Amino acid sequence: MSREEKLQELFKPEGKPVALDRIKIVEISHTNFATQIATALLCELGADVVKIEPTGGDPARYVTPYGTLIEGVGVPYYIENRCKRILEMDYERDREKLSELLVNADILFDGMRPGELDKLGLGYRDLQKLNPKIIYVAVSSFGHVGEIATKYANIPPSDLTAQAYNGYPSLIGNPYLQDKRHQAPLRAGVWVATIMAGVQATFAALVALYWRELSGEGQFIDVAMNEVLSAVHLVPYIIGFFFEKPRGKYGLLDYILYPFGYYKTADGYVAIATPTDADFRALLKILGLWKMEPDWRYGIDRISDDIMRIKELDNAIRQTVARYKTRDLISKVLRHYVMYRKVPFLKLLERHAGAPVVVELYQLRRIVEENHWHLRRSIKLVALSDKTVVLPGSPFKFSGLRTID
Amino acid sequence: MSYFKFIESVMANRNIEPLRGIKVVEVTHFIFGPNIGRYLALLGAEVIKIEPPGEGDRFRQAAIWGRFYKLANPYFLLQNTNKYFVATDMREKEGREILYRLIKSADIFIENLRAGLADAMGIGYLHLNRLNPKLIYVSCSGYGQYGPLSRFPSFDVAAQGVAGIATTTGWPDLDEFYKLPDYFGDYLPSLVAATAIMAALIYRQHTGVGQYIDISQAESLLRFHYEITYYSLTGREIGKTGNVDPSASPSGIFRTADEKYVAIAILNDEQAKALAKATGIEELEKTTHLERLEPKIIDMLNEKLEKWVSAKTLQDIIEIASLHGFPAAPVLNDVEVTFDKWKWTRGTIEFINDRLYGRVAVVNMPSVFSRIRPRVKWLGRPVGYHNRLVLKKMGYSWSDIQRLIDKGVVGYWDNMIGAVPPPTWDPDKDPVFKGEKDETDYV
Repeated sequence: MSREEKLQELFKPEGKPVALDRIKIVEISHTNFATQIATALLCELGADVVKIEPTGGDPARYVTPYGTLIEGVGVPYYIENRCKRILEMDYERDREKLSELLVNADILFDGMRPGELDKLGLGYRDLQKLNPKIIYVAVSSFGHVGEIATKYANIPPSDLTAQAYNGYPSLIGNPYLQDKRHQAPLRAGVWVATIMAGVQATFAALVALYWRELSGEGQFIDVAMNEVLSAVHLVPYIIGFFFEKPRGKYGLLDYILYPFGYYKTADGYVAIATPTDADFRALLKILGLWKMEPDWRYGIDRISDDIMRIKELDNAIRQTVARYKTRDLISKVLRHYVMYRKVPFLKLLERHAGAPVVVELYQLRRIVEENHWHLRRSIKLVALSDKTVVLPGSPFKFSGLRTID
Repeated sequence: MSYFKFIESVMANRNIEPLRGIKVVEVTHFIFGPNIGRYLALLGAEVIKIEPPGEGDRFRQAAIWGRFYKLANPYFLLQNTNKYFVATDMREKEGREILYRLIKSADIFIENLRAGLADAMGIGYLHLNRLNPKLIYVSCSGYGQYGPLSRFPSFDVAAQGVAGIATTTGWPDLDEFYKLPDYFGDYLPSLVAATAIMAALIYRQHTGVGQYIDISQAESLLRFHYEITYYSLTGREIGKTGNVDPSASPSGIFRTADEKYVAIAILNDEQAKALAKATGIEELEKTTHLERLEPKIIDMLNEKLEKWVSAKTLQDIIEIASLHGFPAAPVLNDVEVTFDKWKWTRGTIEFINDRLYGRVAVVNMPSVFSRIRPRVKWLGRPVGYHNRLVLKKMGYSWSDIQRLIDKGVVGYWDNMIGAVPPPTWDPDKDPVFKGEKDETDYV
């Protein structure tokens, strides 16, 4: 059996157990999507998730691009809640029932305004008395701990505002553009701050669960959306502490490598990265720009906090790449490294024996049609009442466990 | 007691390292693999990072703006906190012997080499699993370990491109796309992988069974790329929308009277009412959230909001948002993000006194637990710095260790900046380097 066949066989999910069998999770989250993502991932790992919504449904159901609905609810809501049991409740009238659900949870995810469940007598203060083993995960803008958390508890989270507080929009864009409008901060087009906070909350919950299995102890976990993205990324703090100077827009360029970004071709776009100097030199050779090599030979030559200096190199690469059709450029790159694989001793003679990373920017249609994702169950086609839609599969791939998606 | 005072009192007793006793071995470079080991090490796991002797992990040279700190790359130092650094060549039989011996008592192995390379080197899952069936083996790659795209080259930007994330960020009136900065395509999958490891550890607590875990950058991005589902429903691509979040209305980044920027995004009717009360924009009250998501209405509301914002200072707007209850936040820059007192009180950023590099601000894991305390104990170290210490702990005798060093089986840094010790460092005065003391004796 080839490696490919062995792995395909090894990762077949059929008949396998789930990781979090019999773990009971309760979520109450309003329009806090980081919380919904966190419990959705635990659901994929096999936990039993109950989502509590107010009578008439959560307003989260309608947070969706341009109001587009799928089975009566929004796209993000549909994706993040498809494997949960939804229970609608009147938080005041059904308090008894609600209390019983929360108290018996292994993990409770609270995405409400800080202190709101406490007002109902269902916060950590009350629950830990009745169930000391409970793991209580709170997800909010500024957290539940400390002065700022208290002061700004009333500001609800959103992805855009969390991106802003994490400093992300300050970095995105093209610094060479003249128009004042284009010098403004720019948001990332996907919910980066929400996603990162969601996965961080999932991770933290599982760490606490692991500890509970060892010790029997429950605990309170505080996740603040306004800090997760930048703290996971580390870079803003390194810049802040070691350089004491903000980066500003660097959009098409990068801080540690060049090239590292997107380039327009004659008929589309490619992503180009050259992790090593040899890879960069190979790129120059492939693009017929070898004459520039002496000036830009080393990684350090190509990185500068002076964006005007690197513009010359960037312009040359952009203009050259724009002359190629995407397919032609990629096959030229492939031919280059196949040559060195076939004739390895050339590597010793020549300084441009590298492998630049050049890939096509996929349009959505290409992704949906790509067999690779279907084979790996990364995406799947699902027939709904009136349409077939594409839904994402679980990003977790285990040899001995199955995921639910 | 107020709720917030109560939560503060709950947080007073934090000292647990939940992963103490868990042994991790990583053959990793750049960000995706190393960040997983970092996360586990913050929680008390013993993480041994294996690098090739000489220049080591090539990320050591990838210094921001090409600037180094005491001959080290500060990014590498913070990306590889609390780890033990061993340098041996996995392409040599004797180098692999050391790894095999480590694996026999390890719990977790992490690699982010090109897909298939670990197998070719004799350190793939199928090989290591035979040595230790309880091992949790994690492979990290761009597109996964199997499937037609698995051998494609990858890197953060490439994975963003192949997952179709790239085309979502930009100004609608310009024909250019921007990558998600700061290596989102590495950090997101690293957290996905760390989560998968915790699930596998919990499963192993009950069953004793190990696991092979295959995490891909592109798959982690695709999981949250809602636009693919939107496209399959409507046949339309959303593309670049500038600062408008098409799920929130109004939504955008607006310029304030004091020439700063504020982000505002309204996700539901309750928040719309709050904003209406604050701004007097009547349309907010008379419509439902779904109605407001009509593109023309988003534009109309944004125009009115922009005008309102332009007459107020940033601080005024934040206070108003807090009073009425709608999402608003300043757009911070790196320096503001770093020196924001709020994060220092949470311990997300803190000072440590590192034995080699002195007093440095370090970044911790961004969640506060009431019992667990993630902790940064020491920074990254030069290539091969812990060779003697780790080999000694594995049971090698001093003479065996000297023989391995003399033969070049385990090695040290070459003269490359980023791989070497600080300029004033003296090997004779460093008991950890000599293997006589552990890093943990000093923290």
